[in-house]
Amino acid sequence: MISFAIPYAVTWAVRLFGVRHVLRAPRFYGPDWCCDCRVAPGFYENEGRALMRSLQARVLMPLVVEAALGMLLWSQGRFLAAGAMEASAAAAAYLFHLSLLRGVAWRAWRYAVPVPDPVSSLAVSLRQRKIADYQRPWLEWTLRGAVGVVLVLLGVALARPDAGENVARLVGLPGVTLYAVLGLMLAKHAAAAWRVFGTPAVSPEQFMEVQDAARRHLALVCDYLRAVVLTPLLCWVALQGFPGLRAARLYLLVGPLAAVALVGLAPLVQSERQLVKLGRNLRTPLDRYRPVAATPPEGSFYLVGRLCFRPGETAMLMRGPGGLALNGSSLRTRAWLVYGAGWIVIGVAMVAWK
Amino acid sequence: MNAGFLTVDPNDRRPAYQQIAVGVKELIARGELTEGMALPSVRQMAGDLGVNFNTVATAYRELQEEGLIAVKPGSGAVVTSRTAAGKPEGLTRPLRTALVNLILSGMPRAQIRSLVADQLRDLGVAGKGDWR
Repeated sequence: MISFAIPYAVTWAVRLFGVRHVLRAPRFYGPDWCCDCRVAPGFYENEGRALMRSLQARVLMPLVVEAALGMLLWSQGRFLAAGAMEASAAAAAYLFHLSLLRGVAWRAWRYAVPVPDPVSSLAVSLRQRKIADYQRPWLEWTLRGAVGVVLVLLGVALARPDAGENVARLVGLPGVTLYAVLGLMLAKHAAAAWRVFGTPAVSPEQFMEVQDAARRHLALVCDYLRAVVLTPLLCWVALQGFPGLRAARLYLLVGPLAAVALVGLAPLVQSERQLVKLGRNLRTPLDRYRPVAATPPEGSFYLVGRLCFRPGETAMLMRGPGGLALNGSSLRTRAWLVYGAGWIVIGVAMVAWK
Repeated sequence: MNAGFLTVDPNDRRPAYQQIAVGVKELIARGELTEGMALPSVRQMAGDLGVNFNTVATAYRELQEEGLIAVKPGSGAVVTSRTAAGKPEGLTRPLRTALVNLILSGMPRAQIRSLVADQLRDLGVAGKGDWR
């Protein structure tokens, strides 16, 4: 139980650390700023109070649900399920927090302090962006190699004479985990293609440097999560293929996972620090930038406010009448919807197999 | 305009596709985009600018029709050889029209020469004094 409790506690610590970060993010540039928008002094005591309360509620409410679910699973002795749930929640929360902050940033523009000579022009880099620019080849090949080894070991496990009674488990667990890894790869591709924010035509090189650093950091987060997900899977499949190792089962499952999780944190923290340092330098040029709302193209329509169809628009999230809306016209959105549908199919298949 | 990027102003009266096309043309004229250099994909540029996919596609189509870029499906657009682009006889007319408009606006000849020299210098074509 202790072996499960330690990673579980570490995940919770990471989760709470992330929550603290998100709640402080709107004041990243100082008390007169709300995200990337310059606001009047005393903003957080007046109009900003409601904005911050809404952010706090949205960030903290899922924590309550997670804690309750975690306690339920622990009380039933389902330690592995509790750990998996918490790890998935931590990964999903990262993306959720990003979208929440984007929403706060957009809402804050209503309270922007007027500037005498605002810049509204956007700059665009003429450099082609490729996924290869944001990944470390040795890490990518290691992770791909790990997937290959998982498949080979799975073959070994399935070839065993006693495999017949465990086929559903032998195929199901690696299948679900590899599908999660596929989702992380999709997220990495999305991070590499993401513009992060529109580049104002004032000191664009500085903005582009931050955008690049943000993409690199997000790609690293995805790789870190891939490594953290693949490591226990690799050990688990090895245990299925070579039952002689089962005596050291607990050490094999928890040890490599803890090692990978801890060793991987160092470059992640370093990358985040660099990103924060670069980001703070943006305050001066940001002060002169005022975004102009884009007009929706012909044929746009909104379905229940949160799902829109804007033909020809490539962005996944667009500003809709009720806030951020998912753009069903974007190829990336469709890919994610198909991926999400895959999870529903997996869920149904798991229930049917039971 | 600076090296390696172009700007689009949402408050500009010109449509976005025209601003993109003119921006790319200027970079080619200044030698910052040379033959064989790859441009970002239509999807990437549209996403970065937050404009419609078709806006960038129209700009690229215009540049392709003028022979300034070659669009290859799947591999993006590349800048073509400058000798292959444009026919000089068709280009002198707009220049003449612009000069006539400047003269008719009452601008002194010396100022017009200075203006033309500034523009050429900005495009990296001539050094100071070449046109005075």
